[in-house]
Amino acid sequence: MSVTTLPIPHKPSVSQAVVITLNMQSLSMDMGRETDAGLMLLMGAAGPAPEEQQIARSALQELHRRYYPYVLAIAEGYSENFGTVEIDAKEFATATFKRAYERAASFEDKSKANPEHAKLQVKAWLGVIARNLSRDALDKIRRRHGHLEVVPLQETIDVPDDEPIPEMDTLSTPTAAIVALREALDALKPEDRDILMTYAAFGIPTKSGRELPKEARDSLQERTGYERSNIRQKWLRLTRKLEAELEPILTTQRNSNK
Amino acid sequence: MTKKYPHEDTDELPPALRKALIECGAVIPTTPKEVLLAERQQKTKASPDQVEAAFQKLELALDDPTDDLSFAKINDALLTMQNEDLAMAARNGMELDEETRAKIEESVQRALRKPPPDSEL
Repeated sequence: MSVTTLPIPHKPSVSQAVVITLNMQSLSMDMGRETDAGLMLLMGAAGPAPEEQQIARSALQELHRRYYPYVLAIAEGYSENFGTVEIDAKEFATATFKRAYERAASFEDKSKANPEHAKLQVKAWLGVIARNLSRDALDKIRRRHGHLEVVPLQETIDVPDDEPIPEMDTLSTPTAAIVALREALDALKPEDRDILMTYAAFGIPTKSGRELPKEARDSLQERTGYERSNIRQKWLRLTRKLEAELEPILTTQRNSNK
Repeated sequence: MTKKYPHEDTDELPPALRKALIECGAVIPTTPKEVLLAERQQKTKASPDQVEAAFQKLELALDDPTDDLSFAKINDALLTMQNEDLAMAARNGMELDEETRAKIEESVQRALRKPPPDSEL
């Protein structure tokens, strides 16, 4: 029996959650047929009873089977690019699933029963969890190696409805441009690569340009040893440099496509 | 991106560059569109055995609340490099003004402070 024969509401109401919870005990343990949204619901709605926990673990195992290769690839790409910090990609991927299990109730299905959309949404949601985990880990490093100030971190793991960058299309960047960027990244000093990645991942556009939240900024200062003003200047120089290196390739590609 | 209106937020990260950084793996994709872009460049393939082994590790972590799955630590090579730079600056300290010397002193103290035994996070 599948839990998702009927469309699942974005967030179940209390009465719906009670019904779902009661039904969980009669569910088949064959999670392979379950939709992604169904797996998330089984994890998120599970109560403390051993039977419910067992079902939730089975749902997690299936989710892990489907998405571990993706999350590992993301973690490996991220760890290869980070200069000042050594990241164990496998541990990072495992930590991502651990937090996903703990926060499954916060997942909102916006796929409108489209399985392909659901896959992308789950991957994006796991990406938000991974990004937040990396932010927390970087802040932890700052606290261990430097100042003792502790900044409570805001936990946001919802996938935004709108794209953060309206102009972003889904056409792949030309391979030549990716190769050029890869070479440019490899040639950067570790601390400069850290600045670039931190601003790109955690920076927020403001009236005066992209700014880092305080904890991310302090952590970056600690890792790189640069003053705040130097970091900002380096960020500006790095984006201009990389944009200048990419632009001719992208322009050539655009012209050849005409 | 140039500022068009006085109250408009600005972003020095052009969309094309952000996109390419996602495709390079340097930025973690957090929206469905970004996932699509990243996936086209992914090469990692985990075998069923690797997935199974990873899940066993995950279950152990879930069963042990004290296991915080530390996956990041400061690059030791970078720490050594920073210490060497600071040492060089300290050797030339006679040529530095008071303010700079005080800053170096603070940095040296910070760099030489022993990390806790379990410095791996």
